[in-house]
Amino acid sequence: MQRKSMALPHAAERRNYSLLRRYAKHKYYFLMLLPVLAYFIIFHYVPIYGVLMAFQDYRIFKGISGSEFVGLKHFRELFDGIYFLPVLKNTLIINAYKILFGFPAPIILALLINEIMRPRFKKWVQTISYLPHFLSWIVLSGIIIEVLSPSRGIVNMILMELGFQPVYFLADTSWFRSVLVSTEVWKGVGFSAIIYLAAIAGISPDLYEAAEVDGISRLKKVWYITLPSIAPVIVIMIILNSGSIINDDFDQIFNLLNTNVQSVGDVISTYTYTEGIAKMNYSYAAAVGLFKNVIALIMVLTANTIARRFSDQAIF
Amino acid sequence: MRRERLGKKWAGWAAAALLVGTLSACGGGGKASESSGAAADPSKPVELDWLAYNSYAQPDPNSDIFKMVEKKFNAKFNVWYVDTQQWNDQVNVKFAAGEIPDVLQIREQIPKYVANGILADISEEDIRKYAPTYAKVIDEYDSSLWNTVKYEGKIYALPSVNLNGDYPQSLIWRKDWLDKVGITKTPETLDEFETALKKFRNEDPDGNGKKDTYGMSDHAIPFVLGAFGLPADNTNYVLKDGKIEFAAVQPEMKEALALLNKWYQEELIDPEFITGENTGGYWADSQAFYNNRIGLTGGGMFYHWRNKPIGEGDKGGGQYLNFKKAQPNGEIAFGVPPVGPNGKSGAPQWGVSSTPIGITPKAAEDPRKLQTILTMLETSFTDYDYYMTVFRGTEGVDWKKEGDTVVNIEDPNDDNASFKRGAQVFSMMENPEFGKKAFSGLYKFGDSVKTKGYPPVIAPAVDSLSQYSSNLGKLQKETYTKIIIGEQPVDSFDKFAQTFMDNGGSQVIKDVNEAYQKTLGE
Amino acid sequence: MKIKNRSWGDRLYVGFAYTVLILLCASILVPMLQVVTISMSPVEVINSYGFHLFPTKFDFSGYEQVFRKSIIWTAYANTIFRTVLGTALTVVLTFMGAYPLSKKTLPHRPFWTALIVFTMFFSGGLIPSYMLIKSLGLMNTMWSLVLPGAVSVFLLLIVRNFISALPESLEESAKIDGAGELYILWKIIMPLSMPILATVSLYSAVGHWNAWFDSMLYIQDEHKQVLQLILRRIVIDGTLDPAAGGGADLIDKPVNGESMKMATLVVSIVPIICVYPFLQKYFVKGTMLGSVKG
Repeated sequence: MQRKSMALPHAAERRNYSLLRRYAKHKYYFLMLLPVLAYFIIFHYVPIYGVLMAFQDYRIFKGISGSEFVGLKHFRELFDGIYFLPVLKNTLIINAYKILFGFPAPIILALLINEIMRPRFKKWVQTISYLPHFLSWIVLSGIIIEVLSPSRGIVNMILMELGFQPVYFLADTSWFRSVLVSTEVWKGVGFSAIIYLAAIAGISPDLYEAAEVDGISRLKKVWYITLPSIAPVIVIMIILNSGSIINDDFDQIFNLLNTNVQSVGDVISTYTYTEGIAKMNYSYAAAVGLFKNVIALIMVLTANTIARRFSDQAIF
Repeated sequence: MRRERLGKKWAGWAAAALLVGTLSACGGGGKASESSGAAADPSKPVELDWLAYNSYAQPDPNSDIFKMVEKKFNAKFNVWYVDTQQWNDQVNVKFAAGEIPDVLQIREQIPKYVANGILADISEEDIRKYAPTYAKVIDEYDSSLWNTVKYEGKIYALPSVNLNGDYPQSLIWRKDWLDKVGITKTPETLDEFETALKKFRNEDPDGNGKKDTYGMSDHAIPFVLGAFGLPADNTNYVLKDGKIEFAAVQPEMKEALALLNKWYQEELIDPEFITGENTGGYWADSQAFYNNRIGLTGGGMFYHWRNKPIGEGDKGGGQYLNFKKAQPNGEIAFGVPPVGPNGKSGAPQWGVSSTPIGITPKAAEDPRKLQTILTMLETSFTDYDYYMTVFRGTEGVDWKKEGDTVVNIEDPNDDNASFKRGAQVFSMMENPEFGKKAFSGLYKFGDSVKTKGYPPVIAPAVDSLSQYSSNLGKLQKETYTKIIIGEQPVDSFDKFAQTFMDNGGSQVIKDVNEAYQKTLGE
Repeated sequence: MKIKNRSWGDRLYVGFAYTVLILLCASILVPMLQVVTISMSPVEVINSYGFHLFPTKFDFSGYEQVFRKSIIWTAYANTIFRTVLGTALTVVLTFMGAYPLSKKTLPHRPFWTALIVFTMFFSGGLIPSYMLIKSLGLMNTMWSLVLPGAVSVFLLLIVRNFISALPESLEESAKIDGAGELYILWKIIMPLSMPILATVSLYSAVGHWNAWFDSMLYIQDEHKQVLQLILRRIVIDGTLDPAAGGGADLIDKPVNGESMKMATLVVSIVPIICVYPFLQKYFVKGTMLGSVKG
């Protein structure tokens, strides 16, 4: 590409020349980047032709090259009928809440852990808080059903002690989403906080020392030093998290959903589960995946544009 | 310098381009069948890529059972090993990459496999010629089993019989509770059920002085629906005047739901039935039943709840033992499904149709392959000792006879030892008569507690059902729950039935009846 | 006056921190204890309602069932090997990708970044990936487990932004001192990036430790398969529907699937949980920065 442009008129040539100079100047960086780019090309770009399946009636024996193209048939199938819109709505609402509460939670946790001065307590808290990440939803759902049981669960026992009526959290349409959001936040908060702990660890102690001299309160230190210092990581997390608005947690919802809360808890992945995965309908599954990815991509690009306007920490 | 950088970059792209090339080449080449030259010589063993088993463990190709079967049928087996729980994911990916076995279990709907070119049709003539005993057993058991493997008039698989599916699910009472509230005869009609459940709720059958017991929970609900003539669950069919209908939308179900709603309001049904009486573990467990919360449960099979020992050292079925451990003084009794206002009754039943075995077009190229497979099948239907060896393993190593039943010999080092030694790899399916013979004690017990049941209607598979079934099933479950707990009035049933039919239901009924009439016509 | 005010506010804040953290830990320890207790309890305890925080009766049959399989030790070794190799590869490649992209002067930086980020949203799915692994000749090798997921876009971006947040003054002063690119990378950037590289290691190690689907798909030989896959099979065998296996299994022993499931969980997560404390020293505030400057 560059070589061809050499023949172009003077001004463009000069621009290209300076560009080439810039590439030449950064040659070691590109040398470093090369294996990574090669990795992405081989393991991510080469198999990408599989996206075509979403537009085909994919037949296993014929493969992608031989299967018949059917245009948007599978997308129409997905959006068809009375079921899809409520499911999309549930997905968006549940995930909006999950992002709203789940995004700041690990930052707050990391800040709180950071305030602990006793090293042993600090270590224990860090280690314990990341344990739930290792529990699968199958295991957790049994425990959650027990904890939230209206007749014998500890939560309702406390509520009754306080003079409230017991609540059947898992079967009550007005509570079910709260259960999903709070359990998800609880499960992931410790593991996600690790990223912020690492970012906090990278802050130069000079800044705190200077603040110490000025006699600034702890909360102000958090506000004026810690948060601005970890802002780049926070921004990138906001951008990447914005894409998760469409990606629901299948395992969680599949294991906690029951017939009475279907109307508020059924989401895209549980809705498409039987069709796509269990029934060998590869094209349908591919269409669902593509639809979700396009939404996620739009979200991320939007968040990125906003981030670029207000900071210099956007992805690109 | 610049050239060097560019050179490297282009080398990377070139490598990737090359890769794409090899890939597409591979995609095409993979499908070419392997050399069939060897098969031409009849003295040479016929080679079979084998996936016609459950694959609980990787079998050892040097085991005695392998050698015996290979010698007996002059065959050489290349047994595939796939994870039995992730079967579809794994097998479908392999198929897509051009790796196809010769014989396989069909865990999918046959039309899907046929459309994907994975199944070859099998002529009935061949089946009756090489496996006459097998064909006769299927005819006698339930000749409509042949319909389950037909698609557009052709047979695409060998149907198999699940002996246990002939037994309806069990309904289990707390015998000691019944005694305590003064009921001497296990309830038989809906009225008698209601009386018993009311007493369970109100007369403190567990004697702890608290009103914390209920009559039943979710497992017993299908039995109550059965009293109104249908086991309406998900997209179950029912046969009415020779026409297939969805059970869930039949007007009888409205009456059933009205009754369940009444029982719920009278607190005979545990309000926590929504999250289920099984709160973890094996599906047939009912923690609510074990913990003195309810006095009636169902859904498990006779062998789960068997409360009479057979053979020495045996104490009973797994769920019965779990119950006894939780309630050492408790007793259970096998009940009968309640009789409804019009004299109907029945328990849900799995049905005798089980995983069929199919052959692929690759195998169909060589007639010897099908012959070998059918001969193997015939042998396991005619020769009891051969059947026991390929299905159960070697006597004295994998199993032994105790009284009138067969008992597994457990390997202290490996639960899967007998699978690894080749048991259940080549049996393909169980001859129900031989199964009954080997476990006569167990099935004698099963027969003694057998009740009326509703076997599923065997209907041809149609595409529209697989498209709509999950959504229709969800709609049914949600509506039923809401009507039972009174969140929706009983009259909303009519609207539900309309919605159900409008959103795919009518389409399925139309398709399935057309296909059904065709199979009847033949 | 001022000093007193400040310390009151601080005390309140620290008190709040302790309260929240203690409550969080309590809410986590309760289910964890329940898991451990169930793993060593007999079936009647498991099936009874309520919390089981501490074992009242012991029954180790769950663990016996897990360790009865001799293959489990091979699987452990495979998993450890995979985790170490995979994590090392991920850390190296992630850093190699993140460092150049953190340079604001890099020509066409948005393009190169977008090239990588794009793969987060469009993937070909299972079938093309399987064919790729097959045609690369990686089937049945450890490489099929560590290569396909070697770089995560997410972690790469996190590292990139971490590096770009490092004070530029350090690098500049080193350059003024005549330090070369390699020296800056090795002696300044790397040590400063230790907290985030520790995070990448942890995330990658946990991912490798828990993975099983790829092993199921790409590895045929049971002796090369990873721990989680073997453990899954043990759980499945232990909770198999008796009807599926045919008559003999109908003569049940009491099914104690729950204790076995929990034992499996304990066996599989204890080693990986022990990794974190060793990485914790990299999360101490400012240590690295201080040591570089000192």
